[in-house]
Amino acid sequence: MLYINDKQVEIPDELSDTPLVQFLRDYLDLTGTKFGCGDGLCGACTVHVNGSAARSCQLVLKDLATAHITTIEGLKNPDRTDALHPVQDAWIKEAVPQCGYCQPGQIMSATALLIENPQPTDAEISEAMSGNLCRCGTYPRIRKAIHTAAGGQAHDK
Amino acid sequence: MTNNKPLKQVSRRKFLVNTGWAAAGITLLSSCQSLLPAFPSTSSPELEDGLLWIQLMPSGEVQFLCPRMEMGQGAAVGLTQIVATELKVDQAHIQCQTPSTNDLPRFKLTVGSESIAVFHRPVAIMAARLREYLRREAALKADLHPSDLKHSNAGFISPDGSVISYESLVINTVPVILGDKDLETPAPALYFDTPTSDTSQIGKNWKHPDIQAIVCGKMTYSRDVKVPGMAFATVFHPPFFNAKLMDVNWGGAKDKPGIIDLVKDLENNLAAIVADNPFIASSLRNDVEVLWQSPDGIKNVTSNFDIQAHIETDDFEHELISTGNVDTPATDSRNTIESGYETPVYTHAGLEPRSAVASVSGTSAEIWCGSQDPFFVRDRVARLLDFDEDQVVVHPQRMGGAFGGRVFCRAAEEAAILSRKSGLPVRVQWSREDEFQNSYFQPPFSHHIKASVSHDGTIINWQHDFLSAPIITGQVPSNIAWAVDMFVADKGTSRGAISPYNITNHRIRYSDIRQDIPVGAWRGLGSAPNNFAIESAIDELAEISQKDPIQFRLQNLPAKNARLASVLREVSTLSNWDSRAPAENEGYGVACSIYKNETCVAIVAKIKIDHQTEDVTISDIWCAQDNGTTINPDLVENQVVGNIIWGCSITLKERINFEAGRSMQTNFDDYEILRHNECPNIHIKLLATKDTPPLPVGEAALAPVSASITNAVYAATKRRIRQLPFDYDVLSIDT
Repeated sequence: MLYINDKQVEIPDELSDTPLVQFLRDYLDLTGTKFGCGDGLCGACTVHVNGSAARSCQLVLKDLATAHITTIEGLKNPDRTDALHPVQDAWIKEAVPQCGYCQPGQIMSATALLIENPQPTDAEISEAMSGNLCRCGTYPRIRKAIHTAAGGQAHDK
Repeated sequence: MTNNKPLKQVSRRKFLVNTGWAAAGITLLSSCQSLLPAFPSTSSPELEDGLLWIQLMPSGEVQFLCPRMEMGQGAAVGLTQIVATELKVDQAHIQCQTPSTNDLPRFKLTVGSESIAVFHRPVAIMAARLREYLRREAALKADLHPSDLKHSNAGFISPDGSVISYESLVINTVPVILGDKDLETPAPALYFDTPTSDTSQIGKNWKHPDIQAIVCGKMTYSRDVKVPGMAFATVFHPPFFNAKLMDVNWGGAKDKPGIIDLVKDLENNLAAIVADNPFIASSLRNDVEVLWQSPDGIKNVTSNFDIQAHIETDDFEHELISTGNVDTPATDSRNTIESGYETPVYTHAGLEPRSAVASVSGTSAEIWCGSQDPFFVRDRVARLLDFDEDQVVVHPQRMGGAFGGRVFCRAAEEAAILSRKSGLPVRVQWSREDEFQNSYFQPPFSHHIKASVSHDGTIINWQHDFLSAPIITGQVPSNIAWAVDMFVADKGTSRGAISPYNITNHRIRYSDIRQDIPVGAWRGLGSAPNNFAIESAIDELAEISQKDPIQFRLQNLPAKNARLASVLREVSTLSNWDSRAPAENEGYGVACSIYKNETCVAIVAKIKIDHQTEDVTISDIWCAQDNGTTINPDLVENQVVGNIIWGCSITLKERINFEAGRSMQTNFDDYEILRHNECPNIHIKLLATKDTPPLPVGEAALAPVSASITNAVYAATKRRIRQLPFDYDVLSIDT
């Protein structure tokens, strides 16, 4: 039994070999998780599995057992139900997106980073975010937005 | 690019040109349009094209049907700010919509950084015309003369102080639009031309209205489109260029439940499984054997040109410039350089692999896809289905990156063929591997530059010859390519090939040689490869002149390029160039360019070489850009940063190789693009030149990035990088 955005989801037997990214997009209609490469190389399909960032194109449903999955649609503000998650707010404040296609994956990696490390340095951000490609070149604004969400300034630059 | 010197053609084209057949040939091509395949939408906007762009809705809000496609550049936002300025409405009261092809007359394809540069004025004029129409209506209503009314926020104020809102001018809830006869009135004055008004939105940092949808995962891209009752196709793409579908062995796929259609369409070169759910077709991929052949055998396409071998023939198809005497010998051979520079094949690598849904009936077709030219998609699909163009409607979607790579959409054509066959709406989604093999590419470039300087550092001689493939006409069908090649010197291939410097004895020649690889538009066309060669050679000349690289450039710039001189001085200040103090294994380099004869950019790069980790790192990029009036500084800065990162990426990482008629790169592990941890610190200064109209932005800053980096490597190592991409290994080879 899988939990997706806190809801219990039954997996039909015939889909047990289906990659999570396709299940989210085509079965649950959660199209915020994007398909980019299908090979775990670009990060566009990043979700949280039990609170950690994972590439949903590399996960097959039958291997997920009782996992708790969070997608971009399931991100919540911890304090208020009527507000966006602080990372999403920071993304808007810093006007990060260009085409925007990679940004849900970037945001899922960033939120996972901030769970583990609430005040990351520039170097730690680079390390954690390097699996998420952006062809438009929004990396500097992503870094800035992560600092904004963390409520602080850059530490080592 | 040069304005006053027509292209001169030599060798096999000379006769045709001299007898005036070049112009006749172009005319012939365009006059036989009904016999020809669909063409991209290349006409600039005419006044009457804009009648429907801007509409006043019954709510009193303004609706802007933006004639530009959105792929991340944010042009729609800038144009909306212009509409809002002319109509005096705030962002909450204007809605920008992406039009379908049946909403507006055909508009120019979204390429070449033209959305603001070419469309700002037509959009401002149409908004101002709607404003004046509304003023006349308000005057009629109040029984006043239009000049009695003062324009105010979303309405007018009469002399007695009463307000006539836009909303009150809407009759019977019918949106207010302009008609042909509204174009007969004199062109109104534009607020855009006197942007001192407190309601001007020019220069404000509006955010994209879709930004919240994007960060919440609610934005719809082509890949997210769902049409009720649609079927799901898995398409088998040709495994090598020019492959022809011969047969399909469906194997176990034949009897599987859920299969709607197994398509073997030899005429359209299309094999596909169409299923009633999205899960089955892809799982059957390995059960199917598709047989492909090439009538001429697999083409062993090359991944590069060899200029050195070509130089000896002294035969180039086009001459861009020929002035003075290029054979004037330098006074001293030590004052001459002779150099080769090469760039490889690149691909676009936008993060969204293309997708489309098509719904075709006996008499009409609807297409949902992302394209830089939805009318071209419409016309191509119409020809494919033997429909009239008005029987096809394309609903364009926001694109997950385009960069020139989405002028047409093969996925939409595949979906249309499959939808007609199955009688259902059909979705086609390409994989990343499909993208790498089945898109068109940026062609390789090979340059030879011979140049000399006088003792005082003045360039006296510049001979630049280069080879590449036609880019703008790269995708014309093979049955007319011969005619195009006979008459057209591809201006995409030569974009940026004329250096901005003052050179007395000057010759630039090139050949655009059609290849067996698919070639088409890619960010900035030839500007980045051409600038890499030019600005590297300029750096060599500065070196042998023993001049500072920035001073050498300033010394050789003509007065007419004073704006470029300004950005060079600005980037010098921004980067503390004159007091730079590189440590060992560090270096600074500079390069500059004028994009499309308009946007001036100068870039300084700082690199570091780490012999322990065997890495070359770009630590900082400083960029000064003069793009004229900036409508939205925040979005422009985002574009400049994007160009710089793209430039770092092609300098250090990107290259496509072909073997056995296919791309050897199939995903982001063997075609790497710059990652977060490789991104330099970027420092940008936009020069405020309010007396200049908005100039191209989306590709401008890309061109000088590569040479600024490789010139920095030279400063650090005395090694001249002559081929892109490069890495540490090149520096460690003794030469």
